Amino acid sequence: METQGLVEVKNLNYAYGERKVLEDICATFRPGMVCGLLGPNGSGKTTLLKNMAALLEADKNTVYVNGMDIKTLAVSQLAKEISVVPQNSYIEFDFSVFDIVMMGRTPYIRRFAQESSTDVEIVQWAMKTARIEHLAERSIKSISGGELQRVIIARALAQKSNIILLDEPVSQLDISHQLSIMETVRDLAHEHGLTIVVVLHDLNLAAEFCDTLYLLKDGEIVCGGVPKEVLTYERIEQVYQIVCLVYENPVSQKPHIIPVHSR
Amino acid sequence: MSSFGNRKFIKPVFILSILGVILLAITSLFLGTANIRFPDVFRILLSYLPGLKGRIPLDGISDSTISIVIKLRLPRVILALLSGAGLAAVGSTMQSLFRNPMAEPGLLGISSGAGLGATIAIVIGFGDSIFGLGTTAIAAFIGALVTVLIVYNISRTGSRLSQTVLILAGIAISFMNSAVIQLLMIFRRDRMDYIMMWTMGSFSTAGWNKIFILLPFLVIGLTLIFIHTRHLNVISTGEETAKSLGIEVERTKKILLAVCSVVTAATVATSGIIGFVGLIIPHVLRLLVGSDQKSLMPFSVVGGAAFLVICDTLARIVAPPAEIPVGAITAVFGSPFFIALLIRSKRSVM
Repeated sequence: METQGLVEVKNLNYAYGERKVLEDICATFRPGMVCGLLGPNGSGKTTLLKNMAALLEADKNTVYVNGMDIKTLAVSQLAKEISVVPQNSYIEFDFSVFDIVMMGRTPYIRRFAQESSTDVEIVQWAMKTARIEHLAERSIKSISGGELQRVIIARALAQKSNIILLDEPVSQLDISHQLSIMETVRDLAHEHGLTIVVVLHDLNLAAEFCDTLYLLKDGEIVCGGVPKEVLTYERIEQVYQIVCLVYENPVSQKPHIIPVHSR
Repeated sequence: MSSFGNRKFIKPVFILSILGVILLAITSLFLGTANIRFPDVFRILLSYLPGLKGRIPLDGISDSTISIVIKLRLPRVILALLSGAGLAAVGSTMQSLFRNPMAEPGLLGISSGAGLGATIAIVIGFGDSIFGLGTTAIAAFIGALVTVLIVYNISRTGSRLSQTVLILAGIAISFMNSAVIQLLMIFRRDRMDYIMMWTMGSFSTAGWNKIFILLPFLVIGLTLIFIHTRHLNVISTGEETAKSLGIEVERTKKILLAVCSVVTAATVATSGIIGFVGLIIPHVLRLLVGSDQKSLMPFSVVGGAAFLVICDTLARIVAPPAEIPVGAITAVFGSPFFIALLIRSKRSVM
């Protein structure tokens, strides 16, 4: 069985101080698939993602990558397994796009070593895959939000990990960038065989681009499965407290949600 | 990104800037109240180079001239070079570490803590003897480290550091340290001039003994900083990002904060609190060579060294025989230059 890129979450609980945010989360994320995490604000999507990337201190034996507890992996080892595209990628200082993507090679470059030609090749591949080759020498401060998101995706690719976790990668972008970035992300799973976990707010984007979905409410997984099973109008009404209609997208045959009003 | 545009130019420009600093240092040796001819400065310096001792004829140069160059001006220039290099490197490190272009050695109360330590030692009665200087230096270290530890523990929750709290606590402690220094000055009016020297910064008492105190800390500190330039770059783009890129962020921060404290304390212990260098030099150079610490850090070191030599030379020659505190010069000459650069960079963005 292919285990490279398999992520398993087992009975994960997490609390910020006294406030419980995640309760008994069990989920599996497989290579070659785009898996969406959905749920209202504060339902624990980002917290789950950060636990999977060991950015928060989870308990032992809750998150496994390729069958190994992430608690047993060194930070630099984990960086070779999991890449993260964070929600806010604002960068204070002025670097070139190439420099930022090269930072993805950090876990591979030894302390006193220079970047090797292999590193440069991988960075070029990452920029090509994320379609930002033409931006290489541009300043990170001079590019648009959509371009920045692609740069961060390229940095994640340069890590050469099998798993990429993305936190709301398109929520601040226009519709054309939303589609093109989600297409790139889908290609990473379907063509490059990566495990993609993506937090999304837009239910229709999630229905279109994700192979499987987990719907969260109040720190618990309400249900998981393919979009057609998860995104039913009863469940959306229950989780989001809204009234909506669910049609079938005539092009993709995926569910298409039309919100009507809040309850 | 850099105004030089092409990365290829960075190395030649860096080599040129090192030559520039050397020239600057020699020029500074020649300037001053005692009138010494430029060629004489060269001959005196060459005669002290290992291997050339005794081979350079020094006839026509009086012993007092040699003594002024070697015992007074040379240690002063070297101390200014070293302090400038150290303070600028610390400023540059802190700006990346805290992702804050306003960060500098005075932040977190490091400078004022060192100043307070030194002041206490002076008030208790240690003077400028080798023993006294050593004690004052140690007191400055303790002051700096105690202050940083207090600030650090206030802003720590678990193993994480809150940046905002860190900076606010630093500012609060700085004010308290300064207030205590002022109080001590009032209680010991007889030592006021001496304490003033520490709080305003001056190289007027520079000597080889101070250089030997500063040098080891500087060499070790800068080495540790240069080892971490790649990490600093990544941390400057975000702490969580750095962690997900495989960097032990908290550990790196602790190491670099300790280095910053020790290097700052060493400069304060030898030359007092010299403001502005750590803030302005990295900032100006960021506009010129970009934010990549692999080039910014070496340029900061050279730029800081050059800047303090210029400022100290001015401190000596502007109003002889009076000495102007070098800290006043750094601010007076630094801020207009800094503002001009800010306006320029604003225009190029718009």
